[in-house]
Amino acid sequence: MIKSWIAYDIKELEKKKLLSSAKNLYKSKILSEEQWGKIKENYTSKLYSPSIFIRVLFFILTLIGLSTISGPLALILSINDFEDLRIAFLLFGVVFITVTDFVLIQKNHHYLSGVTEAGIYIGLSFIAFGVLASEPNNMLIYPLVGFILSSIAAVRYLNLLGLVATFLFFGWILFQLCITIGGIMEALIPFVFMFVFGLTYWSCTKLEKKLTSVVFEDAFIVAKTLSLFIVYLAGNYYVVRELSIELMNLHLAEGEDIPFAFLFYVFTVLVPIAYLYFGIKKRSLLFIRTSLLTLALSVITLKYYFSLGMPMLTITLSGAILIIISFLIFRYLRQVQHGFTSEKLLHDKWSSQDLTAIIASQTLGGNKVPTTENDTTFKGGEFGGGGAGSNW
Amino acid sequence: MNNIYKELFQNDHIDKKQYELLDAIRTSKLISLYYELRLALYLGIMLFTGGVGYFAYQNIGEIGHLISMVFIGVVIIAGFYFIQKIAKPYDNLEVTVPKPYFDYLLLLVSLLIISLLAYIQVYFDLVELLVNWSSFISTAIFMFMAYRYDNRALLAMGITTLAAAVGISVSPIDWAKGEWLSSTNLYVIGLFLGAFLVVAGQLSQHKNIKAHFRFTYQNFGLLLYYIGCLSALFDSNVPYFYMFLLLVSAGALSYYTWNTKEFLFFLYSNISFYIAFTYLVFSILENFRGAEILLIYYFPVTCISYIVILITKKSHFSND
Repeated sequence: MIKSWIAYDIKELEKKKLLSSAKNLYKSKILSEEQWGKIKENYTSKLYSPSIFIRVLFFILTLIGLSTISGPLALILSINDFEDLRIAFLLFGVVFITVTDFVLIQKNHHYLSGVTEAGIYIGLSFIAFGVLASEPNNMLIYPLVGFILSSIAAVRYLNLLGLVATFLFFGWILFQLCITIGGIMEALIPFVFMFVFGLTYWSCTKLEKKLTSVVFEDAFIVAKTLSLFIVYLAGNYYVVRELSIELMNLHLAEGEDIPFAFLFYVFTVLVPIAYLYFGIKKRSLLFIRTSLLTLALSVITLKYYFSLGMPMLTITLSGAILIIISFLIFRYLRQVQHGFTSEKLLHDKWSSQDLTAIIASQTLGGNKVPTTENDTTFKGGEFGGGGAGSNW
Repeated sequence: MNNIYKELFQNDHIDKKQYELLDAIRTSKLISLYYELRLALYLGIMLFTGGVGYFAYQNIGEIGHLISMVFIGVVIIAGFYFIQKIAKPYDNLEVTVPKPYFDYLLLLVSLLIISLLAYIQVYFDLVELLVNWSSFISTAIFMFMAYRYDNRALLAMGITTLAAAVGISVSPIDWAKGEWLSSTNLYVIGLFLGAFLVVAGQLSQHKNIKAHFRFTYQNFGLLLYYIGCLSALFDSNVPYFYMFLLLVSAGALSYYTWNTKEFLFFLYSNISFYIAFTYLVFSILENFRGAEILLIYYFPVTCISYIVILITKKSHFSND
């Protein structure tokens, strides 16, 4: 049923996915030139996706073009009062979405062309503005509208950023509900989040068995990772403490601690370790990756509250330890151990030596000579916006 | 389609052996920790070399400083021992070393050499003496390591330190001449250095000396060149000169990179050209009374019509 909600032609999309993973296999030197050539011939897809940089160019151009269009439109329609403007925004949001959907996606088979993403984002933001500019009193309406609109992007257009936004709005709704109920629920918010997003993870694994097409693979990876990550964050001491102070006006006197503080320390330490354990035991890269990320966050959290007063020594030592550990694991996994290896099996589509070079030069720098006043003048900058900047 | 590898296997696009390997990867029977380990290694290097450099400024006593300098030295020597053991001899073509951590070992050793150098400068009070040279020395070290062991990350770092070196070594002259010059010079330098890097990239491909370094050279070169031009456009007192320069160079490069299908450079050139073009249009319209109304239409009309033009050429940049 879900398949009929999707704007794209599933058959074509599957071919596209197959083609791109076959290309990856060819780059990983698993497929021969001849095999790759044959596959390319057999699975040509009608879908149109330009190379990544053209996509960025399209995205930027569409973003500028559509977001500045309201000026001339307001002029032509001679809109004077706010209410008219609101309706105009709503209308044009719908028009943008419809044009993107029918003309670009269905008729011209655009898929991740940059224009489609920008069209969807701008269209949905216009609609959101049109709906919410009347400033409804009920705080629940804001995340609810956001949730509905972003889930349209996530489901109908298989947009991953939309999926992330859907999750965040869902979290906001949950938070708002707990606040509205008040009382004991406010104190239980972290546990509610852990439970609900644990449930989301579980339902993702169930749903994944039903929606087996390769088209949904990325979406499930994002959804599951986000669920695990939110479960961790809900139990992270720093997050709980700071959000209690910021959002729920908790006042902590000197030497006072948040309720259940001990429990949150335990979560901060144990959740990443549990993820790592599951990751190795269930042989899941998703768990392993999430555990590494959360482990790093836990270390930072604990350092933040229990500093030894020697930050530089800590940094240097932890760096040295990391280098040694990863080097030893590299050596240990030269031969396959229980199915784990340190050899590169498949080429990652995001890894390129040119990209690594840019990142390394921007993060490591290396120029630690004290006179660096002009140092920053020339450092890179302006890397074309990355195509992920949306305003909702 | 649920399983891409199965589909390929059933249609005879891959053989049984290939399918078995791919299926093992798909079902997590075989898991590669290559990227995770490399990320951890990278983080470790970042923390370690970042931390080590700051000991020079901390009060850890005479002996403490000596010990840490000797320690860094020992790590460098040990690192070089490993590098020599694994490395292959120099060649003008691309040289790949099959060890998955070799490039990070190079990175670590090079960064430690720079740290040690900085340490020695601070410790022996040589900072003022070497103020103009330390960045050049770093550049030379990075460049040597980059070419000798064929590493693009080190090349990129060499280029960034070179930019810093040129910027720094010029500023003392600026102070002597008066402050207004400093900023002008900086973007002129950026512009020339950028152009120089682009040419260097072109040469390395032409002469076939590490031809795969071309992208790194030209990426930094073009960024420096365009940023230099654009800041000059808004900052200098001869904006029309820079506008003209941008229109010609960015226009020509847009055309050229369109034909060679180097779309990142096409993107840079397009954005720069568009800004220069917008500058031109706005400065022309400024002279006509009542023309402001046209400015409202400028962005939507230009952007959308350019998209339409590009989309009609879609077969040119289809991505398979």
